[in-house]
Amino acid sequence: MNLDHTLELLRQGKHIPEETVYSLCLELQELLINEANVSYVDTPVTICGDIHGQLHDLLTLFEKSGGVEKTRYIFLGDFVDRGFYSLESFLLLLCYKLRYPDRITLIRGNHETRQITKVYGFYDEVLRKYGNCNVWRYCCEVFDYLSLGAIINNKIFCVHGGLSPDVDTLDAIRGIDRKQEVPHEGPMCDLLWSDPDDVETWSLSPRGAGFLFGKNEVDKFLHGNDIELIARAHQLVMEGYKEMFDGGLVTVWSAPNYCYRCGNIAAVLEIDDQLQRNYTIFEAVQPQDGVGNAIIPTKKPQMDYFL
Amino acid sequence: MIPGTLGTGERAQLPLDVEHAVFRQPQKRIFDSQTTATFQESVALARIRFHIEKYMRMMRGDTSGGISASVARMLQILDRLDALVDETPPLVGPRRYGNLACRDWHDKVDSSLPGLTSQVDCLAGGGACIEAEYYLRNSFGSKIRLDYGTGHELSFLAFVAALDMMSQPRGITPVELSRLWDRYYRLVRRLIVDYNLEPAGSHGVWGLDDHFHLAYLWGASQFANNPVGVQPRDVLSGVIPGRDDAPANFLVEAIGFVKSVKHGPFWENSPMLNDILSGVSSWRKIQRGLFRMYNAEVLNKFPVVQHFWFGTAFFPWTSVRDGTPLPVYEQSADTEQETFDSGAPPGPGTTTLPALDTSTMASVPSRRPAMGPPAGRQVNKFIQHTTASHRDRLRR
Repeated sequence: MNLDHTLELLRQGKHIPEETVYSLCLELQELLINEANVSYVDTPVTICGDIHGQLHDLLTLFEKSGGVEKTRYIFLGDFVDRGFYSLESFLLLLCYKLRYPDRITLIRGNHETRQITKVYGFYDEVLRKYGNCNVWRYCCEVFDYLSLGAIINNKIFCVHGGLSPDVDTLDAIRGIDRKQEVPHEGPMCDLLWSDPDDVETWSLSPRGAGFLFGKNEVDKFLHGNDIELIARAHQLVMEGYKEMFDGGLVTVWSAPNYCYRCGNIAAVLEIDDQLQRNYTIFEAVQPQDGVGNAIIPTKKPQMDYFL
Repeated sequence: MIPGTLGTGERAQLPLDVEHAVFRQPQKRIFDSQTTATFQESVALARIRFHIEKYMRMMRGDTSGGISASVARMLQILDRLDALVDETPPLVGPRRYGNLACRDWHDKVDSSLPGLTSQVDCLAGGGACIEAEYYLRNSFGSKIRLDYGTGHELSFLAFVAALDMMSQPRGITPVELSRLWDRYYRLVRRLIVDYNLEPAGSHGVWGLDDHFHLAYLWGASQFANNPVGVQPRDVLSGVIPGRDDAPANFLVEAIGFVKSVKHGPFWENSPMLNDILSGVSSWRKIQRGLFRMYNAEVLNKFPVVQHFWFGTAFFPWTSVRDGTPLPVYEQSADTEQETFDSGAPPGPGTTTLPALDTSTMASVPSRRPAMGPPAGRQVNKFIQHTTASHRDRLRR
């Protein structure tokens, strides 16, 4: 596999051969298996939220935030589903991870699972682009090895969803056997599914998985682990980012004009050596008809209804 | 059961015996993948399919001609609900997504509907309001989640079919059918835009449409039944040839709505519609395909049909084979999603955990045994995430 060539194809939204995806996913598994459940990351670093297959916007993100040649990145998960280019977006991040292993940290989101991608689009996308689901299976194998969180300078905890009533300390996360499909309950599930809310204590989540947690839970976690911020994604924020609980938690969202229609702006959060927070916001690129059109579906599964 | 293959015994279950019908407040019966499968065997589903196929034959786009007093009253009711939007303007100021003024609109609808539907003669006369009104009430999206999707469109279909059943033997006419759906879609599109309603259970670009399915089926039926020289590809190009006096088409209007709310190239933000209109050459094939797809992707999908409830007359929870009652699971408050009646809505494109489906779960490796209930957890309310325990609640 020629990494540079693959990266060039991906940036143009062009078709990647199945064998290339296979070897890329295999190499990534070998790389990720050695990473901890909670990766240590140094400043300066740029934290990015949900991508959801918005490839054009992911390219804008790199452009507006320095690019992977000069900048360290943490991605908080939800690379796939809903958008048109889930596969290309995920593979682009995998290629960067392979090229610059110390400059990219990939955290698992609640969409990086077999069950969710079968419902919310990634599976259908692969079927449409390849005519079979092999490439989806290779990607799901990589999902199982993604980190559950990251810790920046021992002071900022990064996770996709939020806290869990079963997780008081970072060590409790380190003890999880993460290399599996995300369970429907328990600490691993909660880290990927929970949401902050204006609640007094742990409350049930309307999502059907994870919990709602409030300022009390956040303060306790920050104090107990001697950290000052929880950075998470998982929920659309119209302004791209939103701090809560006296700045103890921030939601970062990096998919502008989500689903082509939400009208939101996107943000990334740069943490400098003094742990100062600098937000960079960006809007959706106006896609031009014809660009990226090279992905010609080889089979249209939903078309079976119309034979 | 394959649509269109009902035996004589099954066909006997289809007509509603209006004179002897007993109407009751609809109840929730679908809780998981197992009860979704039971639903496929019900008189309720057979009647839903029967009416969809009937309307597929009737849709021509005719809008001129006389209408019955009941349908005229229904159109006035929809006008009234539309006027309630004028009286309930969207709130200004910061918000997560859906506009909370929509909840006030729902409250006003809930308090107005009983008085309004009792003026629809064919419903009030037979005491059918209690069931029919339930389906009408649920046709305008979720007050809790501030979303709208194919489940709500299905609920309006159920209401139209109820009206139809109560108007026998005349039934509703093609003109009445077109006018009812046209008025309904204009109101719902306004709700979606004015109150920023989220697409319910959105699959992003990988679904047919963020909100609707039947609108495409009705539009394809119009073109198939009443050819006006428009080819499927013409709709994509936006240049619709044909007569100037050709009636408005539901599919053309639905695509116009997509183009007005979504940015970017159509093939990218709506690949499925694009593939259908560019790859299928005849409206008849598109019509049949959309119907097959509706059966599989809407009527047989738990996340959608869990919100369809069952009375005793129009859509009973009885077997289509012999009319006997189907198994009923006890309803439990802690499993009823609609109890989330406070706080902010989840937000657009919010992912919820799909129902546990044992058929797909079997292929998912889980190296960890399922965890027990969090006895030691400080959780003020605990929701049972798994639905398997419902099977233990089987009453008979």
